[in-house]
Amino acid sequence: MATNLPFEGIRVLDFSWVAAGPFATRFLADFGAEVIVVESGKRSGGLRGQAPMPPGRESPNTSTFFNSANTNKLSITVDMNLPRAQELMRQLATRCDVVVDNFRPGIMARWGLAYDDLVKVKPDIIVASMPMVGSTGPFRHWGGFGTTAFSLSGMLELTGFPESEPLACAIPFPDSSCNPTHFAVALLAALRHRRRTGQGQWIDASQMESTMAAIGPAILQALANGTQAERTGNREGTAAPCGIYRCAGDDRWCAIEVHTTAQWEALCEVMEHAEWRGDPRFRTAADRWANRAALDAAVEAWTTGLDPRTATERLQAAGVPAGAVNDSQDLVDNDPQLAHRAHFFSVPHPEMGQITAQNHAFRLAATPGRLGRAPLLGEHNEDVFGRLLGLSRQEITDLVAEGIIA
Amino acid sequence: MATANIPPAALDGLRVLDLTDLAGMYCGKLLADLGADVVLIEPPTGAQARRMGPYLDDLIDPERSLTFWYLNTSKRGMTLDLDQPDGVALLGRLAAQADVLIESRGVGYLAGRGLSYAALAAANPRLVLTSISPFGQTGPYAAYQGGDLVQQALGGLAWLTGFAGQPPVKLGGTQGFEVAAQQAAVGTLIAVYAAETTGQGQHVDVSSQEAVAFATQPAAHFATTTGEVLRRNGNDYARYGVSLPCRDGFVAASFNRADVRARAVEWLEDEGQVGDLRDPKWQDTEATTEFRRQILRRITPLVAERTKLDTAVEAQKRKIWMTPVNTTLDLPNDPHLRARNYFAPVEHDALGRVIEYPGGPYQLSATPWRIRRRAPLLGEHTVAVLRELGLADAAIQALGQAGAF
Repeated sequence: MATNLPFEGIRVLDFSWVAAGPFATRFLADFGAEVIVVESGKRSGGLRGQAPMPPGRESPNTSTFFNSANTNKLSITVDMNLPRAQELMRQLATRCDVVVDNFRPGIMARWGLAYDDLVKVKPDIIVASMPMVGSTGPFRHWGGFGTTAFSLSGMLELTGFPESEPLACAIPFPDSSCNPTHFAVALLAALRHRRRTGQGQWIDASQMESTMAAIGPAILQALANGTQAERTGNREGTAAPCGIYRCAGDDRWCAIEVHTTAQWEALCEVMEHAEWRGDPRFRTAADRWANRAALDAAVEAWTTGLDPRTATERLQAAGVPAGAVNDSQDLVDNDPQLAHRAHFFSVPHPEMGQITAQNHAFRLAATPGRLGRAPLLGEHNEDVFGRLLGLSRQEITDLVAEGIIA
Repeated sequence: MATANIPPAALDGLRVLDLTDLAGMYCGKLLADLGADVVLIEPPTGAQARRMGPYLDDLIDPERSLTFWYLNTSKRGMTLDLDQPDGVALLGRLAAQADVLIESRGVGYLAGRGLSYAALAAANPRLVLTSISPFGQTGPYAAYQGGDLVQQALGGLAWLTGFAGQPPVKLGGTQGFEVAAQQAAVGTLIAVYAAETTGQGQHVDVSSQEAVAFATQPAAHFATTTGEVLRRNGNDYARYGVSLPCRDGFVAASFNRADVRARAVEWLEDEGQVGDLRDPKWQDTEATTEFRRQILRRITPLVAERTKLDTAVEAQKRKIWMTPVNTTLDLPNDPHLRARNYFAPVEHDALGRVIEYPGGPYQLSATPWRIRRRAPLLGEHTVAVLRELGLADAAIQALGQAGAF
């Protein structure tokens, strides 16, 4: 029997509190796992405090970042500084299949929630950590922020134009890409192994190393050849023309990359420059590469007169790879393909009315998963402590009064 | 099979056919390095990735592409000519016995050869077919041509990097391909989990543009919430941090948290550079932007005299978040990575060399990440794979002569 939710029955205790962790466990939650986010009602910080929030409605429940990264999860709040709270979380862990964190190394051990602690009481537990640079090694205590993994990995150094300094991105790219995806792959592989063999394990995912994996060929070049990969701006190998070209309008641009003879001939036709095909500067791919500066200027003379969508559509209709440089508002409002895939979706939310989140890049035809909302802060305290730990309503009230559930 | 010496692998027994190229090969690598038996199927002329540099010792040769090597570790390799009916028939027979088929040949490519998901599933209901395409299997852009740059543009990522007013620039490497391949691996493993519990496979439709758009979430949140459009701004990416020049490169730093700013002021005081930053006026939240600017102004000359690693070590000791902007050449000598035994030696028997590779993106204690073997030579395992299908050597030879592979 096929089920819409393949991970129904899998329970995850999720201590991950900044971006890369919650995006990773979201993959499990959206496909049926019961993911319990362990939060503090006292300590600010983490994604619940992260911008943006709708103006005038700032609260722990209105951070779009939190709400996008935590769909379909449950939320409980405890004060982990208190031994009783730590004890309750250890009990809860024994009723879970997976325990996740992205603290700096040592914190989970201080609470008795490290793999070595939990495996004694729950032999098939999977414990997964994703500290910035891993759980071992001389820099293991290094802290970071959104751009840290990007800078350590070598990816920042590879980004930008050859004639200028390396450039960072305006967003913490690894947090919403290579870190959560790699972490999810490790979790999914460990879950498969556990289902087949009954064996749990410990996962150490360094955010630095997960990001390095996304520029593997350049690192292999350093290891094998002892040379540094160049920053190549918007080049793709020796394809020409290849770049981002100015279009009509304020700060509007279009990407074009030509790899084959057929694409080149189509481009000449679309741009109404049939004579380029006979031009000795552009005859072969090698000629076009050698004279790329002249070619880029000629291409830009054409794109400058068009808005990026029109340029894209004309080139693509002829089979030339091209794409408007979308800004975030374009993604939300002006991209017919993302609209077709319902990439942005809205779900009801008790405090916001509606919230918008973004879908994953894959659609599973038989088990599509679920679109849902993120939990309110502490929304599931009663449910989790009652249903999973068997505490009575009075006991839960007492824990609240003692500041343990907090 | 697990033996006394070799620990089990998480994806032991998973049979995967890999019909991808640059736009998806990393997906199969993720599965192969975790123990799946991944067979890369190339056209007889070889994958495009073999013609992508860099090359070992800069000698241009399809068997020396470091891009191809990296993306295809732990895989076996065969060739099939899918423009020949015999080649298509062999692919159909292989798919009937596989758990997963990953492809990035383009929308309609397999269906046009009689190997649509429905046809493949009729022969093998357990099969997971993962299709990686630039924009997805359906929709107004489904027939559009993609590419790393095009996907970084249409996915909203290129917009976010570069100098204000200057052209946007894509991220280094080919992130328009890698994010899609990573998401494809996640989607595939979810489908595998379902197939192994229910016996029912499915079609997994991966859009590279959507993978990029997903990765731009921290910017898109502003668009959906306040209507603000985040813009590229050189190396002062104010919401998240800033790059500061050192003697030998840059450090990335962030002073966006009050506790980090307080520790930065302590550092400046220890260095005799604190100026008026102890003045209580700076604690006013209205003054935060200017306070941050003043800290930066005073820290900049301090770090300019040091190396990036010395700067980071000193700052981190003080719980100030600075890290070196490593070059790829820094990484082989990185003391932290070396202490973690991060790098993975891979034997290249044909060259008589052992070459270190980037290690795993994660460590799994019971089922270690491991490079099983170097990337395959072109057609290296064609005969072996066809023998496993039960074909006799004479039949294999005849198929080869007829141009099936």
